[in-house]
Amino acid sequence: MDDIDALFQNQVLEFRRGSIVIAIIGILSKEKHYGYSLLKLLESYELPVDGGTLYPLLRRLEKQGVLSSEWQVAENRPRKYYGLTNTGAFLYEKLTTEWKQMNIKVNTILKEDVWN
Amino acid sequence: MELVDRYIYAVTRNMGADQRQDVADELRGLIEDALDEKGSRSKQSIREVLLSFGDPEFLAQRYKGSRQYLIGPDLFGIYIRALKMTFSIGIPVALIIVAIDQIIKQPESIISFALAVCSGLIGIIIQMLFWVTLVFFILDRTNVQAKDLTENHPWDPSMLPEATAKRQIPLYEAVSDIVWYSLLIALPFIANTFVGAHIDGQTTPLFNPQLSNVWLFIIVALGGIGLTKSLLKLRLHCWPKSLAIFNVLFALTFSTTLILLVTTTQLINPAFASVLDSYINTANLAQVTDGINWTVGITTAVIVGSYLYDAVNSIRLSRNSLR
Repeated sequence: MDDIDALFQNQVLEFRRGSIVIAIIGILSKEKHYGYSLLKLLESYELPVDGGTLYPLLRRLEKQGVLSSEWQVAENRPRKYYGLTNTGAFLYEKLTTEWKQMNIKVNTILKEDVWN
Repeated sequence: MELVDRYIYAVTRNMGADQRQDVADELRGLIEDALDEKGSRSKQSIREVLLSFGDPEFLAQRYKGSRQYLIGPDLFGIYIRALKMTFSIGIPVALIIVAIDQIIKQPESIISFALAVCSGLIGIIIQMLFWVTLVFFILDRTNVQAKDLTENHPWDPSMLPEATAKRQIPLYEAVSDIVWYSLLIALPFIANTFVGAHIDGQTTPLFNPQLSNVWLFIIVALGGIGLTKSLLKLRLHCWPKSLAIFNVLFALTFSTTLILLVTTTQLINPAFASVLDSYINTANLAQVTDGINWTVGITTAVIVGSYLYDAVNSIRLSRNSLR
């Protein structure tokens, strides 16, 4: 049973890894966020991500031109706010379409199962 | 707050000047945010927050975006193939070179010889592993892709081997061949010091030290040709027609040479017989010499017989060979 459990956890990790970027740019497409608020928001969507993973990822996406950032002072503290660039918005659109199609395809298979 | 400063320093110290300050500022803000939520700045809270950010070295690596692996999955398959190729050719060659090198240095005993050869070989294997890995590491970091490397030989279904193709030449056969010919090449160099009776610190060679250099040269040359043949066997593990024909010619040459060597020269050291005689106390030199001659004769017959059997066998197998 432990093997199955480990296998399951592994697969869930793969799912999460595959969906984290679309989740981040999905959130940022609506509103700008700084690192910590994004972390909390993802948590509230029950998609918790490590700070150690999220913060470097934001920088990487910025470097790749998907995100842009600016420093703003909020609550007496300078914060780096991230938002989508035009490229990022375009990427988000394409990814969303792909994500939905993928969902439909997989769901078609899953629907054939009796317990659904 | 001293711990926070140290943490930020640990994360950013190896970053380029362009991003160091920016990352440091952001990180400080993020840590402050986390501390705010805790509602306390006690040592314990700071500890917990920093623990949630994790090992600063790992965090720094993520910021740098450096790859968290030596050789990526794309190149890994080719890397393994390159290693196999390097080892399959390199190890036999290295073994011979190391062995010859040690023989020239005249080792004191067979054990020190074996140890020196083993340690030399291990050194070379580590070197091969290191250099191949380094090359692939550099290829990986310079974003070379597997398809760039295989561009000239893209895989095609026609390259598939026949499913029925068994290994015609088992691995042990090729390897024992390599060992046999390596020993043969080494023999003239070690015959006078190693191969013989070691009694009271005195070595009496088994083979006649007076044997002419021409014969020694022929033995080494035959060993060299045989070694090439066994390396081909190792590589092809089947008998293509050309290799089988070569094998037959070689077997005939080898057998003829051996028979000539045994019959026309005094291969066995006459002194060896008398040493043996006095050692086992037969007091009958003629009988000992007789025994030695019989042994040599039978050994020769067995060797020639096995060579001829091998020749016939290789021709038989080459009819079913795929190449």
